[in-house]
Amino acid sequence: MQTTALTVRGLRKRYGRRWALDGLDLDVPRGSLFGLVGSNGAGKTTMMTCCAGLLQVDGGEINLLGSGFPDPDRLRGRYAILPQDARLPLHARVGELMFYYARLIGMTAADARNQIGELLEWVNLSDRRDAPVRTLSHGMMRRLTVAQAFLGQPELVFLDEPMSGLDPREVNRLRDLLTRRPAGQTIVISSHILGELEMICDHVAFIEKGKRVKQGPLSAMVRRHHRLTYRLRPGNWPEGMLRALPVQATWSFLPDKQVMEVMLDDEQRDPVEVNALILRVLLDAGVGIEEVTRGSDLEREFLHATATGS
Amino acid sequence: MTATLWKNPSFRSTVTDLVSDASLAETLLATPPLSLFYCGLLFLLTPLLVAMTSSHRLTEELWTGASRFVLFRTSRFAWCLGKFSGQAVVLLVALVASIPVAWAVGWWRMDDFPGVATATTMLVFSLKAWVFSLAYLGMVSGLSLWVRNPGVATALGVIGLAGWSAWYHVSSHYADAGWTFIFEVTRLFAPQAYQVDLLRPGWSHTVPAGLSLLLLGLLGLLAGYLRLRRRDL
Repeated sequence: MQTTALTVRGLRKRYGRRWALDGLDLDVPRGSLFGLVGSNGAGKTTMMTCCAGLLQVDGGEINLLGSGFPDPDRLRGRYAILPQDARLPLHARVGELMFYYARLIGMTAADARNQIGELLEWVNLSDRRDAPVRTLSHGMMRRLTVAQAFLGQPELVFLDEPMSGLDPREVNRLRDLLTRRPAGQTIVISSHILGELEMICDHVAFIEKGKRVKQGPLSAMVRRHHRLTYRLRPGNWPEGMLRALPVQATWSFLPDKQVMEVMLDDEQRDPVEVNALILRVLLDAGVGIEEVTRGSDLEREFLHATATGS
Repeated sequence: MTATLWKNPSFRSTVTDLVSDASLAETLLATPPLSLFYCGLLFLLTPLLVAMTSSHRLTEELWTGASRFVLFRTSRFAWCLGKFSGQAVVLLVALVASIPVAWAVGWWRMDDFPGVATATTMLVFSLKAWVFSLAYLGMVSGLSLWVRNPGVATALGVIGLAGWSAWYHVSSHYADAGWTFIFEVTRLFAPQAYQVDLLRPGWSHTVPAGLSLLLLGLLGLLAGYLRLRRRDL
């Protein structure tokens, strides 16, 4: 079995004179919840729509579920996309539209009806099953577009800004669905809400100007194993005692910001043990500890990575 | 009044000139008057109806992005064919649904109204008009896949319809004059070239004409598909 659900190599896509994707490489592990992070116009939407076969590429390779370029005939029902700005047909009724989509991917009528019921319940639209799409609010339509992407339990789902337009309760529901997805289902998701991605994703890629800047497991991307940050109250910080600890690390003391950062070397042991040592010294010295954070956050890492172009 | 008109030599001569075939004119003039008027209207207006109502359907789905929920689930070719078939069915339903309305007007307003014969011939004419319109449906659907804006697609459909009709008449004029072979061939790409055969009684003319019209429609659709196949959605 393929270990990657999606492999992209040197993908290029041009709009007029502008290259939206300029040699993008990406490896999406099978079963992962893969977050795409990038500025506006970085190429996230273009990448997803190319991979779903909705855009023609100008160069490069896509290997979708081990079957090469996306082809609805060959991969019917095995992948799905929630397009960003597409509008559902307004004249159709909610249930009928979902049934039509389900039948297109070869689901039996009975299976389709059952699954549509479950999905509509999940997105809280059960009572609107017979309503025309035009009568739905913006948020309801968004929920319906999310639901259609999960019809037939595809192996790979592209979600382009799925949280946009959802209220906090629906965002919570979506987060719940994504984290409880069937084993082996791969989700590629883009969002400007990096905190959300950080909560749900296990892999992340930074994209900028149509190229991959950095990619890896979330824990590595936010340096969860290498960085400890302490927010401390002002006072006499035991700098000497801390530096004398048997810890292979780089220390940063920023009293004016009330922050102390510890960057652990690669060969350093478990950061949890290091934290225990540091906390003991701080408590013995009577330093007030307001917050301890392990690792960085996506936003900071993204800004750092795209600023340096590493 | 209708009976008087029917017997009028000028009227009969006009009908003969219109279809350019004396035996077909006799056949048509033997049908109930209301059916013949209905037939004339159908063959005149159905292409326009198609251009006005169907030419923007595909473009609209591409324009709004609705097609993006579909075209990763099925191939673009299947989508084109499905849309063409769907539009054709809707058109057939509309044409058949117009029969009772027209029939009721005749029953209410005309003396000596042959109800059964009129209904039967109206049904036959509506089916023939439907087959005739398939060529236009394919053409306007194909044209619409070359543009992005539904309004432009409708305009293009109407212009295409007028252009096609004009081209047929120009081609016929020069072809009949034995001018060049090219006009003989190009007029075969116009639906009007098959209209007379489609109206004849019996299958021997109707079936080839119908198949040619369907083929024309599919050719038009294919031309649009060739654009859609490489198009960004």
